[in-house]
Amino acid sequence: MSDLKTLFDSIFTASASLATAPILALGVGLLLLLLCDIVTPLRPARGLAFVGTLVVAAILQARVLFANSAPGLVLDGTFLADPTTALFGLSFLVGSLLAWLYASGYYDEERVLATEHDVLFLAAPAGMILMVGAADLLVFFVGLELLSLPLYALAAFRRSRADSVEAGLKYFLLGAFSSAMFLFGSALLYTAAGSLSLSAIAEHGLASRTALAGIALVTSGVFFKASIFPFHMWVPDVYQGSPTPVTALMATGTKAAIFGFLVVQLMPLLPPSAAPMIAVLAIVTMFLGNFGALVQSNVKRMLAYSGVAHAGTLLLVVPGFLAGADPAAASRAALFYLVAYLFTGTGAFGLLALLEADGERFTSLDSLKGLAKRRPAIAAAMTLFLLSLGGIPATGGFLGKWFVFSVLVEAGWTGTAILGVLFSVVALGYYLRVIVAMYMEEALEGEAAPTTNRTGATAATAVCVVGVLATGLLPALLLGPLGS
Amino acid sequence: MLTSYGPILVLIAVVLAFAVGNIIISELFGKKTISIAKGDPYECGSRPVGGARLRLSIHFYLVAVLFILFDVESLLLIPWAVAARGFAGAGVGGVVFAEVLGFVAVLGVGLAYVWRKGGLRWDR
Repeated sequence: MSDLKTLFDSIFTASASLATAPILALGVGLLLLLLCDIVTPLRPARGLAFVGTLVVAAILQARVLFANSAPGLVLDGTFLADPTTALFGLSFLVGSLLAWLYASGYYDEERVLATEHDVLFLAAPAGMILMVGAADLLVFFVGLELLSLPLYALAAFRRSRADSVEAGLKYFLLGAFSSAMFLFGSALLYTAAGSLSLSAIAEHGLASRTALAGIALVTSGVFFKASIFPFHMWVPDVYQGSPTPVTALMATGTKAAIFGFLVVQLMPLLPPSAAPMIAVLAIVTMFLGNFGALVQSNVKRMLAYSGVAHAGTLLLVVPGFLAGADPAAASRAALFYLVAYLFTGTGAFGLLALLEADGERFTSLDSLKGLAKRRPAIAAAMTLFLLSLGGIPATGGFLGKWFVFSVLVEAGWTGTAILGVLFSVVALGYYLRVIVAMYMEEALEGEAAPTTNRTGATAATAVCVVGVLATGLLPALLLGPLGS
Repeated sequence: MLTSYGPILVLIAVVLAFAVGNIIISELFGKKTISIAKGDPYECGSRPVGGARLRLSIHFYLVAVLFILFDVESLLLIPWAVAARGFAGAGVGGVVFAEVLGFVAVLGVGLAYVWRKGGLRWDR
C-alpha cells in the first residue's frame, strides 16, 4: 500500500498546489457567487464576490510568476506552470475583469440573469488558464470546453434578439464540430503514441501516418477556435450577434488562450515541413480578414474581420519558429502581441458596447460620424485603440507586430514578413475610415448624440488606454519577468 | 480467472430477481382496476397515436437534463469508493475523503441553486 502513498505524494506536491491555485480560486469564487444569488441577504455582495474572486486568482497567479523556482510540470506531467503561462493567466484575469466592467449596465431586459452572466464570466478564465497550461491533450480539452460552454451561453445571452440567438447557435454547432475534430485527432495520436501527454507524443514523433493525421486534426481543431482560414467563416456572424462585452472577451481572451496553447505547447510538436503550409494559411487569413473588413459599414463587424486578420498575423510566429527562429523569442512575441491585443481589442469592442445605447444604433459607421465633437473623450480613446490595431508606433499593437515580424526575419522569411507589413497597410485603410468619420465628418441629420455614461466602462477604458500605451512605450514592464 | 466475474453474475441474478419478483408480487397482491387510460401504451406522457408535432412542456427537458447532470456526476462516487479504500490503507484517507466531500459540496451548491431558482417546480 505504500506505493499508493508514493503516488499520492508525487502528484499532490506543494508546487502542484501553487500551480493550480488560481483555477481552484476561480472555482470556489464561482460557487460563492451562486450562493450569493440564492441566499437573499448575500445578494448585494455579488459584485464584490465577482471582483474579489478575480483579484484573489490574480494574486495567486502572480505568486506563480514571481516564485523563486517555477512549479514547471505538475500533476503527473499534465499541467505546466511557468512565468509564460502565468503571464498568460494574469492577462486572462485582467481581460475578464475589463469585459465584465464594460458589461455592467450594458444589458437591460436580461438584468434578472446578472448572476448567471457573472458566473459564466468566471468560468471562462478558468478554462483559459487550464488551456494554456495543458501539457496533455485531455487537460486541454477540459479547459477548452470549460471556456467554450460558458461562451456559447453568453453569445446567446440577449435571448429576445434573433441575431444573438443565431450567434449562440452558430458558435455552438461549429464549436461542437471543431471539438469533434480535436477529439478525433487526439484519439489518432493516442493510437500512435499510446499516450495523450504532449511530451510522450513528441517522443514518439510523427513518423506514422496515424500520428500525422492526428496532429493535423488536432491543429485544425485549434485553428477553428483561433479563426484561421479555412475555419474563419463563423467569426463575423458570431462576433456581431453576440452581446458586445462578450465579443470583447471572445475576441481577446479566447484568442489569447488558444494561441497560448498553440505557441507554448503545440508548436514544438509540429513538423518543420508544415511551415510553408501554415504560412500560406496565415497569409490567406490576413487577406480575407483585411479585405473583408475593408467593405464593412458596421464597425462591430469590421472589428470582427480585423480580429480574423490579427489571428493571421499572429499565426506567422509558428512558421517562423518552425523555420528555426529562437523558440523563446517566438513565444515572447506571441505573448506580447496577445497582451497588447487584449487591451486594444477589449477597449475597442468595449467602447462600442458603451455607445450601443439601444440596439445597434451606434455601431454603424454612419452613426459614429461627428463623434469627436459630441463625445471627445470616447472618440480619442477609440482613435488610440484603432491606431494600435493598425500598428502605429508608440502603441502596443505596433510593438506586437514588430516582434512577430522580427521572428520571421530571424528565421530568414523576410519576404513573408514584408507581405505581412503590406497587409497592415491595407488594414490602416479601414481603421482610418472610422477615425475620419469621427473627426472630419458632420453628424447625420436627426441622429441623437449618445448620452450613455457608465462608471465601469470609464474605468475599463482608462485601464485599456494605459495598457495600450504602456505596452507600446515600456515593453520591458511586460517582458521583464520573462527575462530577455 | 473466470471467478473474478462472479460478482457480475450475482448482480445479474439480483437484477433479474428484482424485476421478475416485482411483477409477480404486484400480480399477486395488486389491486386491479381496468380503465381506458391504463390500457394505453406508455409513451413518456405523450399520446402514442396522432401527429408527431405536439408541444411538450419545456420543464420536461429541464428536469431530464438536471437528472442526467446529477446522475452522471454522482457516478464518479463509485470509482472513488473503490479507490478510496486503498488510499485509506496508505494513510492519506483523510485527504481523499476531504476531496470527495468537496466534490459533493459542489453538487450540493448546484442542487441548492437549481432548487431555489425553481428548476424543480413542476406546477408552474
